[in-house]
Amino acid sequence: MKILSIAFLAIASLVGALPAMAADITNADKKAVVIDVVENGNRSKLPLSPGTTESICSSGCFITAPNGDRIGLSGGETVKISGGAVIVN
Amino acid sequence: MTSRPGSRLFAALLAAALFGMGALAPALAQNAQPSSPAPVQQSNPAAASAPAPAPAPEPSPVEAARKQLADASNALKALTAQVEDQADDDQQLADLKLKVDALTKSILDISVSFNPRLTQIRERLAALGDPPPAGTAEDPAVKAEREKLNAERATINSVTGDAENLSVASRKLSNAITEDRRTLFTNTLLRKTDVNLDTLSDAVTAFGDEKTDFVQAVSSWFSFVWNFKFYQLMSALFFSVLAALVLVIFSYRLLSPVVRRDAGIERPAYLSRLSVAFWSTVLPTLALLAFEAISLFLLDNFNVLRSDVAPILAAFMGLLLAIFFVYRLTMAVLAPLEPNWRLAHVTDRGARLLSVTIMALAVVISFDFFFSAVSKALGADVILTVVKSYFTSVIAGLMLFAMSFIKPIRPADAADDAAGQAWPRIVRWPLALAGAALVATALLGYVGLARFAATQIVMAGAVIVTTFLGLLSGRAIIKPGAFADTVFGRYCRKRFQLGEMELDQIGLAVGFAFYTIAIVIGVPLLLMQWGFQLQEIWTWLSQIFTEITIGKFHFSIIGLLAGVAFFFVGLWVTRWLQGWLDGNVLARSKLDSGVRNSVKTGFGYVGIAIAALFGISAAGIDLSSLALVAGALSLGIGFGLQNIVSNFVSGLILLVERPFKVGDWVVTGTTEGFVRRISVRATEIETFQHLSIIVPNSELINASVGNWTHKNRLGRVEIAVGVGYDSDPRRVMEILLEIAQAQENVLRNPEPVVAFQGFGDSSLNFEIRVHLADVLDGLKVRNDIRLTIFERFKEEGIEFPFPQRDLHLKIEDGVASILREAVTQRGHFRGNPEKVHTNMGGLGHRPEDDDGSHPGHEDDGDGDGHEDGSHNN
Repeated sequence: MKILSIAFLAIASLVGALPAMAADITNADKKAVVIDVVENGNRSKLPLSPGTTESICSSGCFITAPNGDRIGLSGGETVKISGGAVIVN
Repeated sequence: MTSRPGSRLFAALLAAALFGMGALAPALAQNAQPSSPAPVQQSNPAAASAPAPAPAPEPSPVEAARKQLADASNALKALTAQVEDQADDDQQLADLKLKVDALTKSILDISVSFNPRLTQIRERLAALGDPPPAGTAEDPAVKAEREKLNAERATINSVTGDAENLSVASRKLSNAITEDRRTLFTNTLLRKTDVNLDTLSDAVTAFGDEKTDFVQAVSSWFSFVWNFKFYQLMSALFFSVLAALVLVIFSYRLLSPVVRRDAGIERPAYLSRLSVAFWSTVLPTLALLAFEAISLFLLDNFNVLRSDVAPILAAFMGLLLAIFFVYRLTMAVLAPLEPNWRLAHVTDRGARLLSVTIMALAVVISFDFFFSAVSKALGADVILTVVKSYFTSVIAGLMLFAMSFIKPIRPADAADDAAGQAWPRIVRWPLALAGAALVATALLGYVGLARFAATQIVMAGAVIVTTFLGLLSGRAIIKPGAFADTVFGRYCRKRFQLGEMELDQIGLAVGFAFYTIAIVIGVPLLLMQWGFQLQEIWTWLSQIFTEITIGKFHFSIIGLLAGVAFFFVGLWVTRWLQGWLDGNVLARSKLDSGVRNSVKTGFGYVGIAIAALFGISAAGIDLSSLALVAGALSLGIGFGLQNIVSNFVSGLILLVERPFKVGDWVVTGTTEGFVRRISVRATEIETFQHLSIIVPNSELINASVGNWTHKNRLGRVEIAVGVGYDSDPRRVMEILLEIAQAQENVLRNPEPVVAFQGFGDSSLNFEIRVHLADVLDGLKVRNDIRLTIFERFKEEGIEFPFPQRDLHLKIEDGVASILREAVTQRGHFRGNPEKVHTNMGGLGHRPEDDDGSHPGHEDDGDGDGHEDGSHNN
């Protein structure tokens, strides 16, 4: 039992060093928004219905908010669209 | 597995293996591409000019970022130019791609660094409020600040926009490089060169030129070094030899029984052979690698190397390393001269032939790579490389073809020097086909393809064999008892006092570690051999571990592992806290042991629940989705697990209500004994015979349970005693009371009582009732009291009566006369009892005749009170 826990700890600390995961982007507004996403050199549009969450940017990306703000994301962030603006946590 | 216990350090030195294998990786990597130009050759202007977020002296971070972006843009231009320049060099392209990717990342980082400032601006703007409608007056300070903030925001947006465009361009370049490399690869492989007499003569001329160039370059360099850099050369060589020697001597001393073959051993165990094979391959190769790396590093640092000689020297060292590694590996596995240490099941002759062909193959291919590196460094004619590769491929193909005809397999139970059998078909035909295909491809003019295939076969073969060795040793150590036999296992047993069981478990873990190491090192090496970059492999791995998507469902192995780890950590913390709480806090609180136990157990449950919650959320499982599942299943669970749930709830009630605690003497409907453990589902009761009975908790809640030691241990015991009718009951009661009062452990209050129970059949019955402070002493007290009663009654002459019966015979007249007659007759036949028996049916037994001395006739059926009337009882 002890050995097991130590092994798990070791594995967890080992793999914890791996790169971050995707960014979660949530639309907290009442209306649907469309966000421009530039990821891996491709420009695309991401429609978001109210209240939905999408995972994007596993390797970092640029997004353009409905209000025109441009934001760079390195992946792993939690992003909220509120009042057309992007709030990065 | 036990014939040579002293040499099994192999398995034991897991840590050493880790380092060893880790260090093996670069060695193999270098083997895989011995001709690849050493890094010293590449000066990398792009990496130097890649923008680093340096502490800029400029006041505005936005301006600094602008400058960084401009630098990045320039770097990108430089890289683009380099990509065009180096479009025909795969290795360079791969390096460039890494640089471009790093640049892309740094561009992204620049814009990510604005995020906090953007947040600040947004919040400040929100605090300032919307601009008032036109024509309304506003505080000019507020207006000015808003305008300033908006301007800054616009600047940031425009800078981020630039970064975005730049990152798109940089990503495009990266994709273009990948595309270039792919095209280059196909072109190289599928380019057709006709090798005929003309090309051969061209090649011979080119060879002459190159030889001259080579000799000139090397000799001029050497004379330069000898004359001007002598001390540097010597010190570099000295230090690298020293390092290699230290490595060799230290590791040999440390691991001596597992590295060297002991010729005196008749039949070494499989594990010993395996460990010797592995270590005798890895350690010397590592030592050589250390020597080469250090000497190259030092020579470069002392400015001894020249730009044209450096790649040649590096390739030469790669050549040595590759040949040495293949040599050690071949010797380790085939052991042509030491059949008892051989790993493979081959005959002596087979081992000899195989090692010769394998070595020849390795030498030919390594030299081909070396010469290619030399040609490249000296800028020789391409036709020379082509012709060399042509011959290399043909020779390698012939070797493989010849290898397929060797008959190396040792038949089962045959001696090592017996005649061998052919390869199994599954080996033989691929070998023959590969050889034939190599020769055919080269002859057809596809020299690039043939050379590529030959390299792949040899190098991938070496990597696969080494990986396989690792897997085999894992399998050997995982066998029951194998680990305990190793030196390390025995050391562990002595040092940590481990039992068989623990050693076996450690062996299992070590075996799995071996598997993991072999696969973790072998598979990426193989992939790298096939042209994948380490970076790509790492990205795949991280993707596999972090993000697996099946339809709409995402999960990550890391997350799951982290969840499990969290759970175990939580469990461990709970256990520790539990122990601490029990030992330090509760022990001092003078709480009842039952309460202590309840608190401890309840704490444990809460801890496990929290740990489980932590684990589930860490694993990334949404608790709300879990709630949905739980809701759907709860009906089914309600029916199916009714008993379990009811027992669980009962267990909680038992903990809170505490009708009994651990150590109590309880009586349930079916069981009586001490409570040993109260767990979630059931309670363990140990009877006085030490039979453990597991009683479901719900039974203990629903049925009545007696508890002798519920509030206190006070209890009453009774001792019944009967005396003869001729005793004086008052005297008897006095004596009994005296005895009871004099008895140890008997409470004065409530005081002992003697009760005259009644008039029995044979005796006057009394009962002593005494109260004890601890009812568990009951047995001893009862024993003592009975003994004392016996002794006192003997002294006092009070009798314990035997059961008594008064027998009244009611005899009618007729019966009396028959009896009398029978007795008279019996008197006549006294000498012949058989007859009496027959005639009278035993009725004629006259009491006055009875002297009790008829041996064998007591049970003649008369039943006349001969035995004290006991028959009537």
